[in-house]
Amino acid sequence: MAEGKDKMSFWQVFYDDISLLFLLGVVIPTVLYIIWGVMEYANAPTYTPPMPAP
Amino acid sequence: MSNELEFRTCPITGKKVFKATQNLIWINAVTAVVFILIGGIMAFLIAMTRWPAVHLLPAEMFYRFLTAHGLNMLIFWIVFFEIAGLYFGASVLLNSRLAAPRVAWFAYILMLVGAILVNIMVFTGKATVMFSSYVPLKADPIYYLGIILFAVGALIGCGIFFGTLAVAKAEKTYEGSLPLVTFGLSAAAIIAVYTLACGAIIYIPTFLWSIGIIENLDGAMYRLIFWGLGHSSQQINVTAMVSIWYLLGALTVGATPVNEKVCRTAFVLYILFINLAAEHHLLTDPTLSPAHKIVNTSYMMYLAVLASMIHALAIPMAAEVAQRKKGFTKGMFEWLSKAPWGEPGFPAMIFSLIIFGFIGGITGVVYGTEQLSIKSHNTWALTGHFHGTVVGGTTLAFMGLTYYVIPLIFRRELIGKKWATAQPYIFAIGITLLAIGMGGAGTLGSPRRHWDVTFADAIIPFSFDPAVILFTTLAAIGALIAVTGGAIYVGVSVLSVFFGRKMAPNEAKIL
Repeated sequence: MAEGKDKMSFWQVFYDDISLLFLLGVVIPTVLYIIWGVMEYANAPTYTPPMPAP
Repeated sequence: MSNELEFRTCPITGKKVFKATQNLIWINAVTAVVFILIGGIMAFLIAMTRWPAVHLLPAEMFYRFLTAHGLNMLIFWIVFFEIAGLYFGASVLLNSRLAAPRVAWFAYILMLVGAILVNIMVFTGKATVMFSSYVPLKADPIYYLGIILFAVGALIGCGIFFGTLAVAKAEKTYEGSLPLVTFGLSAAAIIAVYTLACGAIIYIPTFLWSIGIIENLDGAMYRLIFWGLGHSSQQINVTAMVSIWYLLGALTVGATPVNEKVCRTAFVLYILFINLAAEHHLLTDPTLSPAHKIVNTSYMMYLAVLASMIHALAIPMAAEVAQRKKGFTKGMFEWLSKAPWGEPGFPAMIFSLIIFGFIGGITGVVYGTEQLSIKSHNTWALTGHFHGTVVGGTTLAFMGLTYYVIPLIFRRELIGKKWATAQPYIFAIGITLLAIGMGGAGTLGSPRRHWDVTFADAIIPFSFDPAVILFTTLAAIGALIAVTGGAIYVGVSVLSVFFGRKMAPNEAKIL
């Protein structure tokens, strides 16, 4: 079995690793969509109405 | 509760079917059918209201029932069925006992209580907030609580799935890599975890806002995170549906992929990139930068589209190879003409694939571009797009699989096999007409979520191109046909599950 595993290609080892796929599947959309989006909203300039003339 | 290790051996597949798994698949699948029945009744009432010739419901009831339709169909029917599918994929296909069946029952109860609470709130008019429930629209707190309970229950269900994979690996109930269908369902479960986590992240503060603990919720922030749930939940459906296509291919014609590595690569592309498609809902938001929009919807999301195209070619190819091996080699299409069109599974798989790809998929990619999103996003064309993906695609595939699950897992003979065979044809015709009608009317500007497209009571009169009425009528006729197909599905499956002849333990017959 160990010998068979040695012969496994990188991609097969990668595809068989559900934990790693799980991690990537959660991290990629969290970073690219959620965190990046939250940062853009948080840094959006806010409108301040001009002070009325005294 | 029965012994968790009690099992029978399937006389057809030779797989171990654990009693605890069987009971959990049964209860989740039956519950799913109850919710499609509720959602289907709502579909009929909504379609008969959108059709100007009938215009059945008053405005208040229309929006109430539209909310109920969206939630029961997009969330409750599909997620209950998916949980049943996850237990099947992990336990039955891997010959393994289910990890923690008692916890799985607890998850089921959470989901059921959540779904019931949501339905009570919607039907009593305390949560007419549509599927998206955008703030500052405020529903009764119980509504948000119901969604949270449901999401937590489904999240636990995904945990049971991953736990069962670990048990199967530790107890060496399978050798080598996961079977392709289980691998695909793993992809669906990974997508589900992210999705349900987004649901919890946004619905917990929304619940606190609804009871007054939080004073303000930012609408833009809500939309960003909500669509991590709202759109990604449909990506769970896509991934589970594709897994079921592979399963139906194997069950109906003995299809196995020509190159499994390519199919697995396509599932990995789903895992990595499909959830980014949620950005479609924010393309018209001026606050987000073009970089955020383009990276998410174009660069990354097209990798998931590539995955769908791979599956769309790999599955018919697998069916063709399997048929040709049986000797159907005359001409280019004998393999297809001699396919088991008289069984429900094959037409359900093929129609699901075609409707998903050509109606749902292509429109999704087109409407997902920034320029066309501005024009189409709040029109009925979008509704046509996702009726092509979720109904013509996912629901039809799930329906086709049900006719095999009943004899294989529940050990009941189907009642009304001819009805079951006709059902995918009827449903596919109905949904195709419905989606084309919605797409046509929407392209001409007909809005989505609208009670009266004739604007009969409007102070300033407005009328669309007359073709809008034609397309709306086409959609209504399609809805009637699809609802008929849905009613046949519910009738055949409920009658078979409760009154079908009990099959003998060694009876090796599917249909």
